[in-house]
Order: sequence, then C-alpha cells, then structure tokens
Amino acid sequence: MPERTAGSLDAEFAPARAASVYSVEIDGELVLLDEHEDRLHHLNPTASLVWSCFDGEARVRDLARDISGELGLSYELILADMVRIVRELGAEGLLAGVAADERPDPGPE
Amino acid sequence: MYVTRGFHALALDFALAVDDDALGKYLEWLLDGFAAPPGDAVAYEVVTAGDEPDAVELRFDGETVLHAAGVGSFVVHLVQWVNQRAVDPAYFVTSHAGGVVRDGLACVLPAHMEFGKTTLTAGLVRSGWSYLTDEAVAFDWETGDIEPFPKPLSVDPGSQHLFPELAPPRPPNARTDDVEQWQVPPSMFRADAVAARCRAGYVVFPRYAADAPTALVPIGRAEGLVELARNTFRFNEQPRRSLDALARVIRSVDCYRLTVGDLDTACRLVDALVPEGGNA
Repeated sequence: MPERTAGSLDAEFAPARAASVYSVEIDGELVLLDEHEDRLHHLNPTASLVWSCFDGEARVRDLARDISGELGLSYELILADMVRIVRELGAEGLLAGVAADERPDPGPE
Repeated sequence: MYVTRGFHALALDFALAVDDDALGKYLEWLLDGFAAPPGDAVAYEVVTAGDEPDAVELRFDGETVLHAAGVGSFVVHLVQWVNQRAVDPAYFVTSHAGGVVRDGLACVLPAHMEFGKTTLTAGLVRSGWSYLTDEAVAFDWETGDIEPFPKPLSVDPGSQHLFPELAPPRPPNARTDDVEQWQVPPSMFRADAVAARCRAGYVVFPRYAADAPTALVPIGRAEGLVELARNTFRFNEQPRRSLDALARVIRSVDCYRLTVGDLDTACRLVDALVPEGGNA
C-alpha cells in the first residue's frame, strides 16, 4: 500500500503505530523510541492517551467520539485535536503507512 | 621500572608499568580514586625512553596504544583513553554525566561537552558532596545502582580560576607549554572524597550560560528520560534495553534543568534539593 502524507490524514484514517516504534510510560506520558530513525520523542499526556488508542482499525472519528464521551468534552474539539495530533505523529514517521515529512539536512557537523 | 597498583575503572581493570619511577608514582597518585580491581588487571607499559625525545607512549604487548609528544599531553590523553575504555555497554549502561552523592543518594548531572559538568561537579564536591565522576555515570542494567567512576577531574582553563586550591603539581619532566587542562585526583578535595556505590536520587541537567540568572527548574520525568537517553554513551547499540534501564532509574528520581550563571549559586540550589536532616 502506498504511503500517505501526514497532511492528508483526516477523520477517516485508522492510525496504527509503526513497527519500529517502542514506547515506555513515565507518569502518564510516553517516550517513543523510533529505532528506524534513531530518534526519541516525548508525548504529552493528551498525545500519550491518543497514541494508546491506535490499533489500526479504529478511525480517528470513532476514537474522538469515544474520548469525548469518556471525558464529557465537545466531539468537534476532540476531533480537531486528534486530527492535529495524528498528523504530527505521522509527520514524525511514527505511524504505519504514513511517510515522515522530510527534515532539513542538518549539514556537516 | 615502577609498577602501579591495579585500578578498577568500570569495564577496564588495568595497571601501569612505567619506565620512569617519578612518573609512575605520579600516575598512581593521579589515578588513586579508582578502587582495586576485583580480579586480575591488564598490565600496560608506559615508555618514556623511546626514539623520540620527550615523547611518551602507552603500550600493550609491545604495540603502541597511545602516543603523546610530551608528558603533560600524555597524562591528558591517558585520562581520555581510560574514559573511552571504561565505558562498555556490555558492562553497564552509562550516561555522559557528572555525579555527586550525599547521604547515599546521587545527583546525576548529564550534559554534553562544554556544558559545565566538571565545573559543577567540582563545585559540589568542594561544598561537601562525595565524588562519583565528572564524565560517566554507570548504571547497573538491572538494579539501576551506580558504580563510581572516580577518574581525575578534567578542569579546563576557563574554570581553573574558580578552583585555585586544585592546581595539580606538574607531571615529572613536563614542559610548561605542554598542556593546559588540569587533571585533578579527587584526593585533592579531601582523602575521603570518593563516593561508594549508590542509587540515583536526582537528575539535574546543567548548562553553563555566562551572565545568565542561575535557576533550577523542575521538569517531568518523561522529559528527563529523553534527555538522559540522549546523553547516554552508545545508546543505539541496545536502544530498547537502554531505554528500559534508564526508565527504571528515572521513575525513582526528581528531574531538573539548571542554568548555571554563577557556580556558588548553582551549588546552593543543588544543596537545597536535599531535605533538612538528609536523605536517610
């Protein structure tokens, strides 16, 4: 399946964690280790909660509905936040089937 | 020929056979923070009487391991060589950090080069903390316990004016222009300066910033884990295992960022982390 761009991800997307990503949880926040890129990422509590819901089957809008119901918050607000978070995670190369955004060449050290 | 006692430097257990007695005694004094090895030490030769005038070499089995143009630079390179050989992921997971101890709890000071690790470490040891290392904090893979790596402190010229009492004697026969960095054995602080094996209580990420206000700011443990991992030697050789081991350490500590504009203020802020009456 061709990779999607992070910017194209929307409420119909069903996010799955990339196989190269390993996570540890500290105080409700996740630290992600991307072994493909040798990079570490720190997710805030909201992004950590969102990440923990990804199973490759549930769509973003379904997850937003579940979370808004659980927290008693506006579905529209939750959905907008989730789409933003999913795009950010996708841009970092952390989601299966999503191409990471190109990072600028840091140049010679 | 002067043969030093053995030294235990994390993964490196070694002794030195020196063809110059005065230099051998100097090196034994310099490396005296290291404990005796639990088993056999590998014997290296230090040769001053080679073909090249003033040059000093470290050799193993007749092969040159280290070559320096003079005694002063040899001492600096020897300490760097020990640093490199001591750190081995097969032994411990090791972070690029200074470390000091009070009441059995370590304050780990991870930072990149030139961020002021040695200066802050030296300031804290002078103020009464015990010395673990100014370079490499080694965590047991399973327990997270820290094994001391009490190498000589490598004090750069820019910090030497803060520690006039630590000016080390020049190595025997060293030229005055040979080297600028001081190598200071922990015994120059006091005889009992070296800490025992311990566990971490605090992780403080220092950064020297000239003329900046000195400030200690709490940060979350997850952020601390990322920073600690980024300051860990050869992390990518065993990334998952390293991350898990460091997470075990981080879960039981408090994490801070420390901007160091003034050393004495920074030391007082770190001192204040320890509760009145101590950690015990």
